[in-house]
Amino acid sequence: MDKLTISQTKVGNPAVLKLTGEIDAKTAPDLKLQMELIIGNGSTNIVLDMANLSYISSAGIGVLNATLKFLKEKSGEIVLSGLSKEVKDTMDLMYFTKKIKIFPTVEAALSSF
Amino acid sequence: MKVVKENIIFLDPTLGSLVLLRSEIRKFVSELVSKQLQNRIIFSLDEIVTNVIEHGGILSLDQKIEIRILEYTDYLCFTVIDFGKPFDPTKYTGADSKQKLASGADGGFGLNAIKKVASLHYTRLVAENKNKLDLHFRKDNHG
Repeated sequence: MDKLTISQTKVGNPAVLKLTGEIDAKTAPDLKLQMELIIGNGSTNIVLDMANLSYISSAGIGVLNATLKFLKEKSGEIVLSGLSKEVKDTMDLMYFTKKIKIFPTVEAALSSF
Repeated sequence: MKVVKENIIFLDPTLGSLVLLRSEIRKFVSELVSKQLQNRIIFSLDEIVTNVIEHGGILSLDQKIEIRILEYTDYLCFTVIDFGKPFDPTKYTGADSKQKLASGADGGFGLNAIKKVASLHYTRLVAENKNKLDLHFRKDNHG
């Protein structure tokens, strides 16, 4: 799996985006655009289902961090679910796991709102 | 020090090359080190090459980025050679990642993260007008 596929599996607020593949400097703008679209449609709480995400670069974490800050200013939030050990380790290296909420499943993430 | 295995990869200086980079590194290291270290190596090289592509100012697709991979008994060495403008990552002293995260920054976290998992050595190849960066990873580095 080398590209990033983004599908919205729940509309409304909270919304759920399922990410499949890899987020790097080329695909991170696709994630940014998709989150901007659902925020534009009124969602301020977003669950990112990362169970099928195999890689994330700092560009991806940058998109998440900037969007998280934007949503928190609107009393919203991004939370993550289903991270692989490797994706979580990458986030740990950049201290991002100290800043964002992580849940084992989408259901657990949704119940946090 | 005896070289156990080696490979060389040449990449176009485009973000579309990152998939090939990760694939080739994954193939090389898959049987050699833990999954965690595999991911850290892939992450580090992906970040370094991304930085060259985005900030190196390379103007021609002919100016390939060269990645040399050497396996030694105790460690792996990755050498990135590029035609980008001079940049020594070992001297990079930007704000730390915690400060950047707190400010809502959307970038600038990668290099600090690499320094936590790899030792870096930079050389400017003046005659060839290239940068050369070595990244060393101990095979027993499990974080």
